[in-house]
Amino acid sequence: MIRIKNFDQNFKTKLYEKVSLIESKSGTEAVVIIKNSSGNYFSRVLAASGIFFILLLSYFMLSPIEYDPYSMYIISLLSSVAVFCILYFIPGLQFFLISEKTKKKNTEIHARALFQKAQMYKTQNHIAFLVYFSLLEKKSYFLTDYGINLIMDDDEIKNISEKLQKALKGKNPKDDILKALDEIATVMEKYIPRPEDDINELPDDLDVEL
Amino acid sequence: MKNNVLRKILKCFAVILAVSCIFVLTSDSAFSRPGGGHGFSGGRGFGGGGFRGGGFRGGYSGGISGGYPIFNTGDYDTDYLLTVLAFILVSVITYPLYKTFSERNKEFYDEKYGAKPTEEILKKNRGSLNSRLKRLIQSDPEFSKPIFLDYAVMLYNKYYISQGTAKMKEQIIPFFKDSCLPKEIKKYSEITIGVADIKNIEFKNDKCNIHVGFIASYTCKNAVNNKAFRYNVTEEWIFSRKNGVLTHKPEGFGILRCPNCGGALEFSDCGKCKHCGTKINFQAGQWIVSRISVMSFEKITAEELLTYCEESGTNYPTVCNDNINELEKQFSLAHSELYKNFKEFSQKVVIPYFQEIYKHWSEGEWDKARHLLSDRLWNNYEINQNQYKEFGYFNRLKNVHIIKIHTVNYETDKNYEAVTVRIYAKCLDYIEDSLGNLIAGDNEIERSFSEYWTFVANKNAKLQDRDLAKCPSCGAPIEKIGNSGICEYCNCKITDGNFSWVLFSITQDEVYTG
Repeated sequence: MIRIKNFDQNFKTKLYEKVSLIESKSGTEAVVIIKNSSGNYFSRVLAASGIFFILLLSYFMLSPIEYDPYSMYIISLLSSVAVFCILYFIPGLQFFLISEKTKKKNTEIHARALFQKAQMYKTQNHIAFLVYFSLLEKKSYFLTDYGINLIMDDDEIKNISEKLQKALKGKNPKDDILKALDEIATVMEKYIPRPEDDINELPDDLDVEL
Repeated sequence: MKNNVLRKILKCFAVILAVSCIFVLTSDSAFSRPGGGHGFSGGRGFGGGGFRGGGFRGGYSGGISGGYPIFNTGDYDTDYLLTVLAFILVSVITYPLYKTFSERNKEFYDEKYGAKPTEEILKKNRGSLNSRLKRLIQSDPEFSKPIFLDYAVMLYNKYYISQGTAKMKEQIIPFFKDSCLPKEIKKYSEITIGVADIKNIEFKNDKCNIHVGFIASYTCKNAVNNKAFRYNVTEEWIFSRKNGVLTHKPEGFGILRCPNCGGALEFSDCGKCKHCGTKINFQAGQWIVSRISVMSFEKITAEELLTYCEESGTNYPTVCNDNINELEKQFSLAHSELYKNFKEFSQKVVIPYFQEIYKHWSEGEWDKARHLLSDRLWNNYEINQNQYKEFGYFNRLKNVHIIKIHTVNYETDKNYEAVTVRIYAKCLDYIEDSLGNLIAGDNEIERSFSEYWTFVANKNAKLQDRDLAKCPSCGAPIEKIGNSGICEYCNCKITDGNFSWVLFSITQDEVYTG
């Protein structure tokens, strides 16, 4: 699993350059946020380790080999604790515990919350958009303010969303993300060209805590 | 809430793990102990009649002889006590481990990255902005960055302060495009500007745009319900001027006049100067505000005003000009009367100013620092001082000592010189009331901090061994310098850098971009 700590300075510089490119070509306000995870899957990890405990204990109990009952209990308990630790402290593995629907839902909820909390809806012509990547879930979300929705075709927005999703799931996500942002710049320029006296309406170092 | 639950559950896990470990470690001795007493299966074992037909294997048959199953000293109470102690011991041992891991995990879940300018980009932007500023000064030799920023700040203040007043139109109309004039009238007061800096300069076909970023706070009173709240805001204003218009020779800071005749601020509703009758507009005038963007707007509560945040930028690397050594050499050669070398500048200006300004701030005698700061900066901090006075509080800064000073930037134009330094210092920083009761902060542990200070002086000023308690022009005591910054003895304005260096801006390390 790719994590934020894997992003080198070179990628961060290029990422910001792409955002600047979008804003210099079009009249939109672009924000790109990448998060390691869009949810805390503790309950799933707990459930998985509980199920593992029951399964292992059942195996010992039903096995034709005779086991010491204390050992059965202790081994099952320790193993389930170990499973819990592995799943909890190696978050990449949690990917397999989450359904596709939950991944999608959590990513969308997080993207919308960031959009609201960052007050991205406050641009004068409502032309801000958020590109959100959630690395653990391997999901992206492309969220546009209604000014963009009015001007752009739904198909075009859908197309961008798909490209971003593809970029994150590709073999080289960093490069693919940058390429996808390039394409966004071209599309945005086509629909919302940069006006005279365009001003940066959102801070460059947008930092939002949820 | 969720984290607390998580913590509790993990603690339970730690305890279970500890119990399990004790069971494993002590099971052999417990189980093999000979003797009668209660059989395990009949006592507190897994169940009554054994397991899988044959009972609990032969090993248990000896039973536990009335002792606790983990420890077996022969005395039940001692066993019980030892067991509890063992639980506690293992929990204490495993807790730091759990804490380390859970913190690491929390970091993972909270970690996010928003595309923002990296150090490399900031450096590039700074270089590019400096070259554009040079280009502007080449085409308009009287243009001065400190004067321009002072003008921008005055307009910012006027824009908000004049709203809702009868004189609003005649004070601000000529300086703003119609689209920028306030639509919703609210009452603003106590405007403090933390940062005002040039963010961008654009050369268009027919005009030049300067983007100025403001980080400010103000009190806003709603006209409908008369409720007042304080807000922190980040704004970006575009100042535009037609190509070919040149800046008048500056008369000093803090002067806002008709751009055509230099008359005092009095304009008709349609923007005509009441002195010269000229309609001031973009075609004829100087820099006018062509666009305003409020980038962030946050309400702050009274409690937050007294809250001490963790110092966040002290460890940030110093943002300084790439060729700082070369720049310093050139600067000291060109302006030897004002600046011989950094050591002397630090000794004669930075350290004494720093100590004096913080001393007066701490004692709540802000008037006494009047002559050391530019009008704008002094007025800014006067608002903060007044807020403390309103509550009857003092922001005490004791044991202020400078740790180190870094030179950061040298700027020069036809009229003014500016030197920016980063000062690292330490002091006791706390708020107390007039009876000496601690309200906020810490009066025992020193707080480290760093700030970027920009000093400005007119080119004709001279660096002298100066008594900071006296007027730099005539030597009269500073008590005779009024709020206007004019010495009552010699009638000279001493706060616009004409006689000596004045502190022009203080920028916190976490927001300084160069």
